[in-house]
Amino acid sequence: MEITVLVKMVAKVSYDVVWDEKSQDRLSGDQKVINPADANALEAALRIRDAAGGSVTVVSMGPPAAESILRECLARGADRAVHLCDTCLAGADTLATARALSAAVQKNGMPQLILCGRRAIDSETGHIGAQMAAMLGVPCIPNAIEITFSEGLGLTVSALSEHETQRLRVDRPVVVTVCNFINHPHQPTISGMRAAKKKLFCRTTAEELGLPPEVCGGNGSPTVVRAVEQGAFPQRRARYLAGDEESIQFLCDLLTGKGRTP
Amino acid sequence: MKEIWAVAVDAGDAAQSLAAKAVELCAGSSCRVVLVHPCVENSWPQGVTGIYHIPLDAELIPNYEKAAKMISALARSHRPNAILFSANAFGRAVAPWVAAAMKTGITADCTEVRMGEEGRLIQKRPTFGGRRIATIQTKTEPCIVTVRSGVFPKPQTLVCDVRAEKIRLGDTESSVQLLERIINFEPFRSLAEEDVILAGGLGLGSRENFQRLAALAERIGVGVGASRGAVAAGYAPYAAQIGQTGVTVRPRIYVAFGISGQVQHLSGMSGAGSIIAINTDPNAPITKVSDYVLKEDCVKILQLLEQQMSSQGS
Repeated sequence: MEITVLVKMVAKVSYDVVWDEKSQDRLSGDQKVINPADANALEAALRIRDAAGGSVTVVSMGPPAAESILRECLARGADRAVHLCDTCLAGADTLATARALSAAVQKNGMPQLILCGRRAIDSETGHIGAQMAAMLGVPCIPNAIEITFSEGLGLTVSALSEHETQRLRVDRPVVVTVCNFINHPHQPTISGMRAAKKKLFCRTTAEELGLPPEVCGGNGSPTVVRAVEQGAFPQRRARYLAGDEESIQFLCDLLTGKGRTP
Repeated sequence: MKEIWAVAVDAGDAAQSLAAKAVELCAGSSCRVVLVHPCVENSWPQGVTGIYHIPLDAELIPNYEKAAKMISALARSHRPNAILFSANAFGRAVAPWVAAAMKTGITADCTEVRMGEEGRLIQKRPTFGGRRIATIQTKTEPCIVTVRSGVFPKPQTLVCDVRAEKIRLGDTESSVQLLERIINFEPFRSLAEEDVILAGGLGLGSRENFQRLAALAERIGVGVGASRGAVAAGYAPYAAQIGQTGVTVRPRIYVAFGISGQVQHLSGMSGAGSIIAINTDPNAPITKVSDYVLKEDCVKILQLLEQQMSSQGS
């Protein structure tokens, strides 16, 4: 099966990121890693490929630095990488991002399965999967916790809805977004890193994908960030309680309405 | 604004407060509820001018795409200026689908939506785990927004005879087929209105322990919630998730069992009246926003509470 995995470069600890006013960029001065749930998506893709054959392509849209996470995906076992890297794509909101990624994904023929993490840890929108599905005219299964493929049954996905886990059979092509507890990604091995050097790495631009500048980046984004303010939580000075009978009674009284609100 | 829609999957508290917000935003012009539910519900806040009833069960994942197509088709013919969705599993899946189909902008998990100049909505959302609040405006219409549950007040009064128009199901063929419903959890009480909440995190260590916490909450008649970690580990359903990507709660008393307090979690509960953290790590981030910290294993405390409640016969 031909599988495409979308990966995003994010700062390692997203909430330590400093918003850079000058570049209006969120990635200033922090270690860049594969968005955690995207690493799970890659792992899921590799397992399906290893069981059922086919190949795994990783696609990322991002600045030149994103090459490193794509190289890492190759070292983890992906077969080829596509880096959508173009200054005209900067400042894209989710719609413009999904549009560019959809063009990149389809460039060499439509894959059977498109996987990505259910959301990125920096912007936390979780939009890309559903937006791409709408653009590509395929269904989207969000929040997958298990994906299996067999010749007989085809592709089955277990996914979370609001109150349930549902097992679904899906026709291909399909977009599936995965939860981060679907699997435990393998780290790259030395031999994997060596093999990665010989794999196909393709860098592409918006023009090569047939995307005119007016649909790219900030120009092609219907949403505009007007301001970014500091968020803050009210800090409190905690009283420390011992785990003794008195504390338990205090908690009990509080919960049953007998105690006074502290 | 000429017309605003609120998309609802039931007529519960979150849906009613979303509809009330839509009424407020459209300031006297047309406000419609798009109800995605097998049966019609006619009681909505004063000011809702009509219901588009899509008779589909929003809990079922194969219905996401069908509903998204129907909402997009409706929006193309009626041209609302804005469509509000609750940020539940359905809304998070369907809203971006509709936005992409209509080539319009979408903002996720808003905690504030108000009318700006030129009839454009001003949307605020926490980002970078709540460390920043972004103010966003949308240049295109309809402006699509998902709203975090619990951030808008519940309407005081409902009118019970809002006129509904049933939308005929279009092409019901789907390439997604439901094989099995594995019902994990009883439908959760709406957390947004709870006075007291017991919330469990990864520190509980297992789904069984979370269910013990839920049983304790049930017994004393309070709400039960979960951290994202606990939901991700399969201890609790999404409906129970408190925080940035879940529900916002402001109970009088909030007791956190084994929740470290990632900023994403804090952004959904730090407005609680009194916060009690039970955690083995006295420096966990949650202790910074807590009034009381019990430095103990939360499972042990849970057990002691169960015993104490039994002996008190409550």
